[in-house]
Parts: sequence; structure tokens; C-alpha cells
Amino acid sequence: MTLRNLLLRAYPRSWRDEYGEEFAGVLAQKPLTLRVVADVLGGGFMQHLFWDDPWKICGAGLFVWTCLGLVLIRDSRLAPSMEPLSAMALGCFLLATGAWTVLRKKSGIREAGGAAAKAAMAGIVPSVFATLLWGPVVVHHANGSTWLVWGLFLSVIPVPSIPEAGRLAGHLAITCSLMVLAASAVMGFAGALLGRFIAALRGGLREAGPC
Amino acid sequence: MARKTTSGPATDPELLILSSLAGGPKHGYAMMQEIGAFAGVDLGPGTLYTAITRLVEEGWIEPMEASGRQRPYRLTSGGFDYLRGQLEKMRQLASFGLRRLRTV
Repeated sequence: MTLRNLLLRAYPRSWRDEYGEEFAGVLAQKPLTLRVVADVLGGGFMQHLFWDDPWKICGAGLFVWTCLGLVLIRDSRLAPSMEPLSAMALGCFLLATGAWTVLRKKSGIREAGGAAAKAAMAGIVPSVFATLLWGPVVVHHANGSTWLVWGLFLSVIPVPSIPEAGRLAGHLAITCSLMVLAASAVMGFAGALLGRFIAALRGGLREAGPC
Repeated sequence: MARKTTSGPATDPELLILSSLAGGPKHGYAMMQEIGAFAGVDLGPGTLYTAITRLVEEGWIEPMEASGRQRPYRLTSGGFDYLRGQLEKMRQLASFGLRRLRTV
């Protein structure tokens, strides 16, 4: 495989289906200097950001975030302080997913909700597996209460500790996941409204011009 | 040493592509060559196709029937209006700036 073919692989498959042939033709006529290679890689990155479905990129981000969180949360000194941050960041992330879907795909509110739910599902997967494999993580709060935290992602809705939790781990993990999915869809709807507002604002600015 | 100007509306890849296509349909490599000749801007393939993708999505240009590996693009009526509007704004800005410079 030549360097030019490798560079072409920096672009999303669906983009290559549409533009790959002619892009390869243009690339074949340019000498491969460092500047051209950097330019092609930069273009590939931009296409991944703006050509792929937004939920795939957001979902991949959440997947990595959850995996990282599962590693960090096992240190009980870190876990409680990360819960509010986790909830806030997750909410903003799903809101952004909904807004981005509307702006990028010019889709409706329903699709934005679906995109946020799909991104959330990608983030839930490591949590569910970790819970089924290791059981829940117990966090002792400063006020004396005890909570079971289902991975960093599911710490948005911590479940009060119950003695049978160990046996019910799988059941609770699925219940929590469904609740998170429903909440994610709502955040996606809200994000869609935000996206429409931004689109209207951009349209207005475009009409008004740069001055 | 004077700094070489590499940014600004006159080097915007989308406007350069639209300006190139205003002279008739062209494929990617022909656009690159013409832009290099009339604007002195050496667009890389990644920058060129990032801009082409966006222009197609906006409906300002459209692909034509491919001949071999090359597919020409042409300006749409929306693209024509957009380009004319942008160039008109640039002209107003340029004449305003030049008037101001004459008074210095």
C-alpha cells in the first residue's frame, strides 16, 4: 500500500465513497511534501468531524470517558468529588450532541433525541460490562450516606445502597441504563432546540453580513 | 522583515473555488492550478476538498458527470448569488478602506 493510499484512509469511508476517486486523482498529481501530507491529514480530521454522524463521534468520546472514569472511580478518594462534574459534563455533552446533529444534518428534534440516546448508549456499554464483571462501586459520602455508583457515566443517578445490591447488580445496571437513555433523549431534544436557535442566529448574521 | 499575508477574505478557500468556477465548470486539480495563478494561493488537496464538500452541502456548487477519475463541478444559481453578494461586500469594504487610507 502506497503512502497516498494510506493518506486516503484518513478520511471517513462514506466520504471516500463519494469523493475518494477524484481526491486520489488530485493527490496523485501533487508531490508529497510534508506540507501536503499535513494538509491531507488535517482535511481527514475535519471530514471526520463534519461528515460522520455526530452521534458516532460523541459516542466514541463518551465510551472513552466512561472507560477512564471506571479506572478513576475505583479510587474511592476521587469518586465522590467527580460526581457533580460527571453529571454536568454529561448533560452538556448530550445537549451538544443534539445541537450538533441539528446543525450538521439539518435534522428534526426527534433525530437529535435519537442521536443523543445512541451516544449515551455507547457510553453506557463499558459501565454495564464493568458492573456485571466487578459489581458496583460503593462510595461513602461526607454526610454518612452510602451510594452505589455504576461507573462514572451512571453516577448521574446514583442508586442508594441496599444489601441485595450485589445480587441485583445486573438488573439495576440495566434499569439505570434505561433511565439514562430516556434522560439522554430529553437532553437531545433540548439540544435540538439550542441547535435551531444557533442556526437561526447564524442565518441572521449571514443576512446581515460581516459589517 | 515584512510578514507574508496568508489569511483574509481574499484567501478564503470557498470564495476562491467559487470565483474559479464562475469562469466555467472545472475539476479539482484544474481549480487548484487556476487559484494558484489568479490568487497566488497554493491550496492543498485536503483544504480544497474540505471546501468542496462544504460548498456541495450548502448547494452552492454541484458535481457533473465524471470523466475517468476527474469529476467537474459547476456553480449553482444559489452559489452565483452567494459569490456575488460576498464580492460586493468585499468591494464595499475595499473602497471604504482605500478612501480612509487616502486621508491619512
